Amino acid sequence: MALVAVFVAYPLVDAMWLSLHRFRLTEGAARFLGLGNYVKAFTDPTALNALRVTVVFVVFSVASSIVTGLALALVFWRSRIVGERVFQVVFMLPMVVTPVIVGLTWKWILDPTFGVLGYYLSRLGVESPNWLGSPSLALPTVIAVDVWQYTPFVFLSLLAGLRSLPLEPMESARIDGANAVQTFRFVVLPMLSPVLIIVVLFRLFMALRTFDVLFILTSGGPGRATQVLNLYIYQVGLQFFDMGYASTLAVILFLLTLPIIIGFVRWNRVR
Amino acid sequence: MTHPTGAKRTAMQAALHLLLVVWAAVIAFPVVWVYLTSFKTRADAFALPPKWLFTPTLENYRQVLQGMALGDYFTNSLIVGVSTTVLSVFLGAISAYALTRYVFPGKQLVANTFLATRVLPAAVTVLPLFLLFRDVRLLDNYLALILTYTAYNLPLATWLLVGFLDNVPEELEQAAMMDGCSRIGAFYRVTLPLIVPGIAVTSVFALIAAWNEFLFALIFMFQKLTLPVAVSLSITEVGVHWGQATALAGIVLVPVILFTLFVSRYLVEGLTLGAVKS
Repeated sequence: MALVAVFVAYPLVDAMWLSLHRFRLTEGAARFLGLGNYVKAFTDPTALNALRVTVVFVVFSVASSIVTGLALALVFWRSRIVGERVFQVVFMLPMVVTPVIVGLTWKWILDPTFGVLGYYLSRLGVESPNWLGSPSLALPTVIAVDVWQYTPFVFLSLLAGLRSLPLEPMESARIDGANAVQTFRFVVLPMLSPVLIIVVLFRLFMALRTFDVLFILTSGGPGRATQVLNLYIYQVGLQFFDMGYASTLAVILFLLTLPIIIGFVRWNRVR
Repeated sequence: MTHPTGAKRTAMQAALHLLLVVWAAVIAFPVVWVYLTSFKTRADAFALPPKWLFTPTLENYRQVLQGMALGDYFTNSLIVGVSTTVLSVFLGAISAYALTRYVFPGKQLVANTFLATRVLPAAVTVLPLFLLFRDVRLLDNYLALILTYTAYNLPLATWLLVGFLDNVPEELEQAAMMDGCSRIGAFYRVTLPLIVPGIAVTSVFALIAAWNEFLFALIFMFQKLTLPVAVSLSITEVGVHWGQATALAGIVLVPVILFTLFVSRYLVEGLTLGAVKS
């Protein structure tokens, strides 16, 4: 039994160990800076930009995929889908494919010279811009790729959730004269909320974790248009080797994820 | 489920299916594209309009298999992947067992910390871990990745196995123990066979996660690179070596696709069942 306790404690210790490390605000030769790094973080325009990009990325990506996924789940909810297993497999692919490969493939598709997307758009008469190379378009494009990647997951999860709901409440709502929208708002949505909440939470942390795809697609460029905090930390820590500052940024990123963690914990408790 | 009555209903069903097929095509397109391109010659690959019909060539694959040290990358990924999986499942099973069978103080805290670890963006822990591994001379060592991946996988593995273990009533084990088995014996003989699907699913998850992982592999390893990092090597200052990249990707994706076939059912059910079952 002691053996079991030890094994359970190991990850705990690991996590705590890491948090101890994170507060080591030092560079190669240990120099204690106190809160100096944090001040630097909040006055560093690049850091603030990274923060902004991260927030924009996460908010838009998650919102888009949730709305789309939910809408489509509602559409297909009551229908019987032919060959559903096949669809399930296909829909899981973007989530499971090596993110590096996802990045690489989209890099190709979006390429201005030989990209497939550009070609088909030009067939439709639309002039296709340099999606990943244009400072104003890069971020939306990257968000779109993230949405492409995870909307199927949202869809499948919400579909399963919807299907598990009892039908009686909706029938009685219909009998009471409610129309589709009202039924949705007052009957379906409340019943779906446990599933919906956890899907949103998952989606949020997936978006915050994104690194591989962004790294391959743009590496933060053009300029710093798509440099989420993740990428900036990488740059500061492993290209500039300013470990102290990078750790500071990492802590800030961690603080960003805190609401999600709290959300998970609360949700766990409610179950 | 009501039978389709009338042409209108059938038409709607058909329209919905069409929508689904179109969407599925959009989703599958990049993967399909990777495989198509990997079999094209350089000229065909860049041709516009994109060629859907072409004479396939194995040149890219040959290049990858002979030119790059594919065998090494593959082995590295395999070693790291399998070790991580075995370790994750083993420790996960023990943790899950402890969580479901015992009551001990701080249990909720442990559960929550597990959750917290899972949510962290990789960048948050990459640097401290890098320094740690550097100090203990584990950089460019399989162990660095194995330990890291296991630590990251453990919460999910435990959570999954807890779900499966919950369905095995304690009475079964107690009956076995009354017949003279030790706790571990009971676990081994009675419970384990019952959660084989759980172990399978957990293994697959762990394997895919380790197989696909990029950031840690990039940072911790210098010579013993894993496959995802190898793929990223195709992006050079000169440009992207597309033939090489797509062939490599094609190989890397084979296990992934196989895993998806196996796991797709559980992925969705596992997530939402957690919410529904109470």
